[in-house]
Amino acid sequence: MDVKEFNKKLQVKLREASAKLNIKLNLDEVIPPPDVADAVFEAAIDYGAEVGLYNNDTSRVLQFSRAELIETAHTRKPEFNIGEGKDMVTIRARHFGDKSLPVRMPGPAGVPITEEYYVPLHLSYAKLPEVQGIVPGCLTTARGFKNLAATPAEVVLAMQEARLLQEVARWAGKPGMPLGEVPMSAMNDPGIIAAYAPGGYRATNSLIPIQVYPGLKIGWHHLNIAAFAQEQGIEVWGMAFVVMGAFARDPIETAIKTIAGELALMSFTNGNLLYSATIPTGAIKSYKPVLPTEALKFLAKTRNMEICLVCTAGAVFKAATKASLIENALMAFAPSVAGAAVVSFGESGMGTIVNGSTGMEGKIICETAMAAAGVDDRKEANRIVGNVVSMLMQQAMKGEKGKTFPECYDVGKVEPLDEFKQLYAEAKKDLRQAGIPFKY
Amino acid sequence: MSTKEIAEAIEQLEGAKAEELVMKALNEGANPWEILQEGIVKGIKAVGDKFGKGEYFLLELQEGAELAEKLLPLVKPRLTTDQSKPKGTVVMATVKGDLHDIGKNLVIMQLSLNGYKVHDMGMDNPAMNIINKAKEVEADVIGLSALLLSTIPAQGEVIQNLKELGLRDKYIVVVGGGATTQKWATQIGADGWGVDAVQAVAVIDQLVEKKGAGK
Repeated sequence: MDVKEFNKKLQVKLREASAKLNIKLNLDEVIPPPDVADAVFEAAIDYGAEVGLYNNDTSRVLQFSRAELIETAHTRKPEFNIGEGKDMVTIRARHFGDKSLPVRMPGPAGVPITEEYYVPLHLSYAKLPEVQGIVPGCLTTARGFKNLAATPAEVVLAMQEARLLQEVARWAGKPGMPLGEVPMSAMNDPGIIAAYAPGGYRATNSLIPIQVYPGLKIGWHHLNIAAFAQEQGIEVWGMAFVVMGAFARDPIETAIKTIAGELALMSFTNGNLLYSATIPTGAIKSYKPVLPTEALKFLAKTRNMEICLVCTAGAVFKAATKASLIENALMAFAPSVAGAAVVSFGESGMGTIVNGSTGMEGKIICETAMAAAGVDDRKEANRIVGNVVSMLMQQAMKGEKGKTFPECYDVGKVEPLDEFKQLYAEAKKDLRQAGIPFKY
Repeated sequence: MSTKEIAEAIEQLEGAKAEELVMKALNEGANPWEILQEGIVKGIKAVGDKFGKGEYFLLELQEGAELAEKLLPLVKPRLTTDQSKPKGTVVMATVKGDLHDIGKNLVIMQLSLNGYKVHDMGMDNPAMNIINKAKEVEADVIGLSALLLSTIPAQGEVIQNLKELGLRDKYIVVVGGGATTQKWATQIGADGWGVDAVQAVAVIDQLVEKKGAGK
């Protein structure tokens, strides 16, 4: 099938699915009513069976039947262990109002990090008592090689990342801690597979990423990594990437398309874990469509599947600002209430600033996710989110500049400077006042 | 019958009505250049503007581009050779190692809607393939898209290769994508950078006009 034809079909069918639901989402209410979430899940199964996934490399469509997608939805592992020895954690499917704590795996996900700071920056996350695992940043260089995609440098960088990240785990006193979405320093098959060479990542301590591309596209890359993961027994850190404002117009369409893509992804990877992010185009910038979309996606899945979901927090604002801490907390809260099994990421500056993330952003998402566990009143959760959004908008007006890791940490001791500790305390105090029920 | 009605029908993506209005205007002896500029071009530009405002989405852009493809052949035979030329020829590519194409596709649709002839090279293109394509189609502009920090250096590689081949001044090179900034574009010696698809067209328009490329 011609890709243009597929693109048109996926949009026309998506609009039909949305029109059939005829739901107007109240964007002031971040966590939606349960019946809305259930209807979206059903629509996603129908939609997924209708459009399938497009393989860019073969120009063919991978078609799944409705029965196959339903089977996938109901045969995921509701829990699995990852990590080694005393640091092994059990990732368990959670649900709205669940009192059990989500697993905490923050990290400077995808942030470019220089070799010089790679170990201490990750250690700033890994050493925190709340943290059970980490998701890494991207090495900018290794042994003189620049990180250039689709070159042999990817192999060198991915292998070096694996060595350094496991060194971080040892330094943190958690040598068997799980390492999520690895490798981050390579995106092509040779680099990804090289990271699992002897001395590198192992099936027992890591999760390998596979993402359906926007527009429900995959290629041989996805199938290669899925085959590698299954042969090696590596759990998949899966995602269907949907850009809101492009193929999908609004939260309902974004949720339908994402879930359809995720079910198809799990059908060919046999994966048991999904991470999620709502990526808006330039036209949609406010938090209003993003947060309700995330909460809707989480609720639709946690109500209709026994599935381990990862909430990926993160901030547009730069590191070591109050705005970044508040934004990270905001992005961690609603999905954790809605049933996230793992809270992760926690980077700043949209993950694009070299060395521009710190463990303190990871700390705030862990504490927030732990606080969210047990919040079982939808109205109360929505009230808290509303308060935090208002607080963030006010903070945003202050135009804080932000800092990089070496500017706000004592790098030798891997400790935040007093000024940053003070800022953290203030942000947490404000968030507590906004209603987040921190445990301590 | 006015060109305004044609523009409005296109903006509303009413294909059959737009086609009928264009034919009627031509049969009534209206100036084809005016039909093109004041009717079709204005209408398709309005489609692009609506996308920029978040009122239209990819499907509408695609429909707008298809409508333009249908209407232009009706008018073109009645234009002078000079009038029927595109604003410029653009080679658009996602660079080597990068498998993300949604941003590039948006720019392509916006450029097509704005009167450029665009050659879409898809994803994961080695630098020399892009340069060879630009030579082959006698491009005015090379557009390079990359999402990731590990793939944006490949944008610089294209520019470096152009310099080494003595071709740098022959092409306008614009870059874009998630991890790029104006600072990055300046650093690698690109001629322009756009934050999104709408701005990309404005940047290219300006650069093409300044260089006197295209027409």
